[in-house]
Amino acid sequence: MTQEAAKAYWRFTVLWLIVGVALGILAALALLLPESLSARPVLGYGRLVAAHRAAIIHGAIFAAVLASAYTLLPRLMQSQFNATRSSDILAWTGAAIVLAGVVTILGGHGSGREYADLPLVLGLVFWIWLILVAIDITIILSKARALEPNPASGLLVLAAMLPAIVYPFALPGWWGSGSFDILRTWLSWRTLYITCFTLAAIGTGLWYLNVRNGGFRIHRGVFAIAIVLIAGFGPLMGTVHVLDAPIWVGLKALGAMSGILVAIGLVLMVGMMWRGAGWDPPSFLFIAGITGIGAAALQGAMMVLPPVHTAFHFTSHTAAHAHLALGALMAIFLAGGLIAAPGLSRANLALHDRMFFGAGWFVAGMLIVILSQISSGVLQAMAFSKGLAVPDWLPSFRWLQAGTVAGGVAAFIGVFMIGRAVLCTLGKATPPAEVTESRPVIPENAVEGGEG
Amino acid sequence: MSEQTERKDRPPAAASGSWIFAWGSAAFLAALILVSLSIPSGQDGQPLMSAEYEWGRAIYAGEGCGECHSRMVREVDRGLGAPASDRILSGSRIYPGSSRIGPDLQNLDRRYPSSLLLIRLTEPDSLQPGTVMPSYNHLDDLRMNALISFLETSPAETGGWDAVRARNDIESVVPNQILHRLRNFFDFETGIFVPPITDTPEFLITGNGIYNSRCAACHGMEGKGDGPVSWQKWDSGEQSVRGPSPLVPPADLTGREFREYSPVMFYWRIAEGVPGTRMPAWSGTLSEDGIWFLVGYLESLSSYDLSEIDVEPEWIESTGHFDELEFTYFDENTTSEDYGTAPGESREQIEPADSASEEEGMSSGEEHASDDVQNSAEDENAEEDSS
Repeated sequence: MTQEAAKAYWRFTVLWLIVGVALGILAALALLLPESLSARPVLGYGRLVAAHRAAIIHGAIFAAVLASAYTLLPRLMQSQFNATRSSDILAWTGAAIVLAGVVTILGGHGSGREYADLPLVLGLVFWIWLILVAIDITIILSKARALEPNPASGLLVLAAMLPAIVYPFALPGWWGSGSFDILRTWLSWRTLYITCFTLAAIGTGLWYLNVRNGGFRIHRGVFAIAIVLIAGFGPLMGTVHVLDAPIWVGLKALGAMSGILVAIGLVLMVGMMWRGAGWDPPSFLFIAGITGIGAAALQGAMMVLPPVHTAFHFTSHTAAHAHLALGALMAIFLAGGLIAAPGLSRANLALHDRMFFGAGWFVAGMLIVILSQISSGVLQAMAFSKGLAVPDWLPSFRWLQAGTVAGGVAAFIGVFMIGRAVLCTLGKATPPAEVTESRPVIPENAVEGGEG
Repeated sequence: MSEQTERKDRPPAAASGSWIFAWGSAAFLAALILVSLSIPSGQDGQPLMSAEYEWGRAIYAGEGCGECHSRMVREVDRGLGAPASDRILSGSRIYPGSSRIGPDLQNLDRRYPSSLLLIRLTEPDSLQPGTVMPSYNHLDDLRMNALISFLETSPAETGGWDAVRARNDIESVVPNQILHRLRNFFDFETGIFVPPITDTPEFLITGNGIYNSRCAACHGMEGKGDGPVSWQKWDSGEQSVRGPSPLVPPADLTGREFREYSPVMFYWRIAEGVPGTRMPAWSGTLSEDGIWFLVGYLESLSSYDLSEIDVEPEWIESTGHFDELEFTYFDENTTSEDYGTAPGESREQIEPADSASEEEGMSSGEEHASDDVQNSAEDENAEEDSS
């Protein structure tokens, strides 16, 4: 069974989320109180923020993608998967690599590379690990019986395997100069892996919709087009601003359309839920996640407009964009985790209110962080413009970081509560029923519990 | 059920697709490695730097200095931006956002004496109260010296056109071919570029004349991108043989980003045009002199009111005969000070800063947004008002 591997990945998702958010709070504190923290080099802003990114991206998000894949693929493809002996080991190996990376970065040996701060050696090891994970999933799929692939499962498979191909683009210039540098100029590493994460999130979301609403049918052609727009243009074109050609303005407009499509889907879903079973914590997280992705896609497309681009080209603004996009993806993964890991059965309804609070704290915390960073970016843009006098009532850049600290603490509370709920009930999850060709794997009580 | 039968039940696409992916990935990776090994590494053939420099670079990266600082010639090309050449972090792309929390650290050797840089690193609050920059007192003397050595080693010392760009704050997007074309204007002993432009009235009037005849149709008489054939007029039904691009309107040349264009950037755009827009290449129509007259005029566009110039009749007669004007570009006795500066713009002199207060009045090519941004904005507004 793949349950052990799935449990391991869910544990590491929660662990790295907690560690990553804590590092983020410390990083914001380093800007708020530099004279207090800088005495200890490990608490320097440069090291903390790089370690924060490594823990969140390399740790939590990669683990969440694989947790979703190992958990949901058997259910989506209506087949019993037999994990390899390596599946569980690989989960621990990945965590060990990330741990080594975080420690190395905090020790002052980060590579200083955008969104891929692991030192070169660890970056290579991480890449090899991604390849091994892809091979593991391939073996599991090849040994499975009576697979019934569908779009959601395809997305999850793609999301789990694609990083093995795209991660090399994050590695530094040990390739040397030449054609690969050209590729890395055209394709931003961060857009490629955000594409992977978005694919996984959509796959998770589609599974959730299927569970929540007793079936969700969509024409495959429409689905394919939507996926291309949502997962393809949105993140990919988001950073093609390096090309000095206005044609990319049009493509970014298409990326904005993806945000509109997501917003439309959101409206439809809210409508279904109003008519249907109402709200529950996973629904809340899922809707928050969808909204966040739509907002991030629109924000990314707006960045190309010259006046907006000047304002958005400040680090704080783009940091807000990153938190919006990645926070939204994590909300969707957590929604899937709440359902998939503990099984939202009647026996677990005691956790219901706690998870609602946890979800609320997480979403509210992320919103506060994003607003604080946008405010910091506005402040920077106003100062940069020279012609604009910064109003006295606007807090200084330094004290705006207090908002980031506060939001981070709120998000930390939420992550802790949700994570505890996921981890406490992992061991109590009801294993899927014996699989036959026609009988779905999804536990019936997953739908009943959502109606509470 | 036999294994053979079970295999028949399995949808062939799922299984074969997985194996295709696995083997395809392996083949792709093998090819990637083989090709990468055949490509010579290194940074465009630049010479290796000293061990201290390399150590300093590692410290710069490891301490995360790039989170708050860039080390490149920042430029914003009509809002689309471009990655600046960043040899500092091998193989990396610039961080999100080209404008960081802290100032750009390019050409520190020209702006700070080492002693001041040491204070900046160890006691940042003493020079700039309330700054968010942390102290790096935890670096021992060897590491600190290595970091300072790295920071003070401008790419100018590593040679190449990147060095020239760094010395002259020329945007990284300007192709090497353009710099090569303009090589006669570089003093290669000092690396200083001396553009053949002045702020004399006759120079500006000539440039104005060229602008009115060639550029104003799209960019407007005042350079605000609202010329008769600009896209703002397109919707009203007015049409032109050379209509504007529906996506990118003629630029507002008085905008902030153009105030920070280097002369070379202006030259490049005028001579080669702007791909994907209706901005043509003027190198086949205008002479080199004509382009430089235009560059000089454009640099004054945002800050110099030509109506204040008392126009002499003979100057007006000279417009249209600009090719006949004698113009000395460069000789062994000419320095940049002889040419003065473009009106309304203060070019940063390549001299070490004498005090921290000078550093606060940064050149137009730099921006910063430290926590005392209010004071900085006020200081810079006061400078512009007094200039």
